[in-house]
Amino acid sequence: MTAVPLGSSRAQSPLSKQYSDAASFYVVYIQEAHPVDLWQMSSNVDEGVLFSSPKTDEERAATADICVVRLAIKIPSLLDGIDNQVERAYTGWPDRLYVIGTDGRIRHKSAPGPYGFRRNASKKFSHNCRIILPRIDST
Amino acid sequence: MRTLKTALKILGAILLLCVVLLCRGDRDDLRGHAPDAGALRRVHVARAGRGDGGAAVQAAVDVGARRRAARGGDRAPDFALPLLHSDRKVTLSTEYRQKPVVLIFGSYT
Repeated sequence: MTAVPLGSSRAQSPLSKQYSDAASFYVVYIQEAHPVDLWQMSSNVDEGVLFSSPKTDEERAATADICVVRLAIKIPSLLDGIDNQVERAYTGWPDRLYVIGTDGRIRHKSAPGPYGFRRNASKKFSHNCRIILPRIDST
Repeated sequence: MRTLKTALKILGAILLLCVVLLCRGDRDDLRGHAPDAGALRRVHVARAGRGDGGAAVQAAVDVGARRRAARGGDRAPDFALPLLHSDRKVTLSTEYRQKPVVLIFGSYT
């Protein structure tokens, strides 16, 4: 299974285009959700998304590079270290969305994806972007 | 006897309330923060059926750290991470001082 949001059109969401002036969008590339050595998904096998858990920063960067290139992700991608420090601080695994305000406060924290990105959660995120981003931006 | 019936009724009501709360989709709010990814990781390891002991131990260790994880309204933990296809690092606090930041956590798999 290609993880949401990186493997879906949501990564190229119109939101990132719509709010490109109001907010900075970043992908934070974190530890693999379904590497072949932990929990291999049949859908990943079908799609040829077969990667072992990276053991070094360089290996993670290489996997992220393939991901970004294959999926033509336009959003700038940041690489979490192999110690997963940022992922742990944010509980970003397997997928998660955050909105950080200009005051440094967390304005939105999604449920874990992909299941947390169901319709209602996506609508909530979209709603928060529409409401919060302009409001934060104006303060 | 009457006391016992009353106690059973109260117990039943409490159990019913627990079931209702657990079935609600907004457990995030009840717990004050989003579901713990450490718990999901444990499920993943268990489902894998071949998760090694190290992964299970790591998942258990993660739970403690994840309880201290960022929540809505908290100050966002700062970081400086390398930008893919670039030599520069991006510091979160530098970014959000300019405008709000949307972070999308994920991986290819």
